Amino acid sequence: MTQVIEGFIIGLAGLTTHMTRSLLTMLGIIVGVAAVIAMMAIGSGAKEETRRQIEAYGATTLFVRSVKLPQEKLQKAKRALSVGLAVSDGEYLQEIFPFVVGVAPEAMFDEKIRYRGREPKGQLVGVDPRYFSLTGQQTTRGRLLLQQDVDEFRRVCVLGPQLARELFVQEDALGKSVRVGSLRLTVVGVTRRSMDQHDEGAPRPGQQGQGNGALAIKSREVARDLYIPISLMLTAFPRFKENSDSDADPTYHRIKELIVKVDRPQSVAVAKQAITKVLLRRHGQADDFEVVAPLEILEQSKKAQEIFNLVMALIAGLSLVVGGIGIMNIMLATVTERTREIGVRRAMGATQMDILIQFLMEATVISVTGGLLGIVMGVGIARIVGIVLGWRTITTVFSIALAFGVSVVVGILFGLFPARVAAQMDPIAALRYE
Amino acid sequence: MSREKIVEAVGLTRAFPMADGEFVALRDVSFAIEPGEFVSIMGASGSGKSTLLNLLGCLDRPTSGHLRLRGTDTRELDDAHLSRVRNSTIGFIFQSFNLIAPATVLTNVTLPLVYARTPRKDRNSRGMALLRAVGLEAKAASRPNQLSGGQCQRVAIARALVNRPALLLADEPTGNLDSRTGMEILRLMRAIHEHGVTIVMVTHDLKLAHFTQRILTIHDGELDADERITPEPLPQGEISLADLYPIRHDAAPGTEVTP
Repeated sequence: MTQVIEGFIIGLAGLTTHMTRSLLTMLGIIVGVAAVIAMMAIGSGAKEETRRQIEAYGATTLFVRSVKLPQEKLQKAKRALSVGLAVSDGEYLQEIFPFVVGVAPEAMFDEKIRYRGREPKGQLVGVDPRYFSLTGQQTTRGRLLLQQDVDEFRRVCVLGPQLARELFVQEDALGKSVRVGSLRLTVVGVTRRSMDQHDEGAPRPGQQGQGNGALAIKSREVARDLYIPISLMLTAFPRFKENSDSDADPTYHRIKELIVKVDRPQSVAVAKQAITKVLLRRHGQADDFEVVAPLEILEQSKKAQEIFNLVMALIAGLSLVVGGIGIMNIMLATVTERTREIGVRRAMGATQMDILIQFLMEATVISVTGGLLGIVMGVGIARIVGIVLGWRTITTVFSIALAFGVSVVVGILFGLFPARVAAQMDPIAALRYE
Repeated sequence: MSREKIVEAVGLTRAFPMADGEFVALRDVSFAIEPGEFVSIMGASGSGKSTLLNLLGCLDRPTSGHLRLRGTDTRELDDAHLSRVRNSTIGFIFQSFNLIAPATVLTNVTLPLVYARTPRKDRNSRGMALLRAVGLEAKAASRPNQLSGGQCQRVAIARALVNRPALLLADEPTGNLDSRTGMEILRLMRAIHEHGVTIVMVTHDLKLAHFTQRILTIHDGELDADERITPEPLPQGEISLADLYPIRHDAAPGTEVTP
């Protein structure tokens, strides 16, 4: 133990004596360790995101989304008498497939939501009570939409918590009227912060999102939703303008999407195929929808993640090997440079083991210092990636311990050969070395 | 009762394999050194005196013959044991000082104690005591390149003595010094000898050898002569020896011995 501590102190002294040289030697280790840390941070972040998303959607949910068609295809679809995605599609699916246990349509419309001159960003969403039960949403104040609201075209709405806060600030939203286009809607409820308990901006199926590379089913912020009865939506805002900027008929689709719940996770793959087939037939073979299974996307993203991890591991591994060779190189130079010192130490009573440990510790000090710098850099990279790309990254204690361990192992592994060269020197020849 | 001999060499031979046979650097050398002797080994360059010193210092092993250090046959010892013997029994002084350049004077002096597994605190106090003894206490934190040649050799002597060796081996200790400084070093060695340390000094200078008690002359690898002489008195110098630290190997650590 004393040998190790002494070796460590000597190694540290050597490090400070040749600062630039040591830093250059460490570079490979720094890059390698930083890559390991960043990779694991991004990986854990993606995994966590995946877990959250599964929790949010449930493993038995599918989404049938309307797809914007190019002009040519749209004309073709219309000739085939397709009317785009509609509420009736959902009802049909539920009717014919026993494994479909629930369907909830969502219609959307871009319209300004106003209250006393305030016009916060929000999204008008037409739903029926099934939507709330499928997504598990609840209210903090008031109530959710009822079937009667839908049946009687009531001019009521339920607000997302963020939207409620921005519209009403300190006021109580319940019973107040908000203006949406020409409609005046009475607020009957405010939903809970988000359906999957995390911050506003809970991921919800909608448009393709920017995930961690992990997920392609991100979305609008549900906390900014304004829910109205879908019946009212479809009469007041009769068409969902999916094709608004490219088509003579901007109002092809009736709804934005259908949320489909199946009986068990195993049914998802079959359901996806079956739903696709049936809807294609209903839409006259028009390719105007897509069926998205979060579970499936998660599986795919897992594969992408694995490839990403493999590439990163390869980079990290290569950097560590290059770093290790750098250390070996510099240690061999050091051993030659200090041949006489080795002779003196041997004459003063150092055993071969003492010399071995000393040089091994010197190599380890270099690699561990490099490792520590690499950890700092890796955590930094993970942070920057998190901020710039909006990916979720998690730096775990395990990854830091692993990186530290790897740098110790690299130091020992690549320091072993130079240390052995030093230890096996003939003391007499070493003492005579000029 | 006769005292145990410090060195007992019996038929020491050291041969080096060469491309065309072997080169015998030392042939059948036998002698014994009693505790407390101050011996010089004389010989021309290439005579084999350094080879003999390396054998005495356990840095090398004889091809044949026996070398006993304080009764222990060194032929039977493995590398680790030889290292331990070097550490505990032998102190080395080299012609070119061989101090470790990036380390401080104190670190250099305490080097043998590192390998003796002495705790750091004790190491430093003992190192400082030795530096005080050789008059370089103030230079403890300096680097060797800040010292003169004579000072470097005094540091080397302090280092050689720090673990209280029974045998001090000096290889041309004044070879790199001017004659005045060389004389100072010799006076210091004499003082050390007077404290009971056995000294073996290799030199090619007959004048220096006459300051010791016994001259072993090596010629072409063979022991040519072994004569006991009355050492010549050293010229008076400045160096005070009164405060020399207890350097005798049999002195208990921490006890001061006044000469």
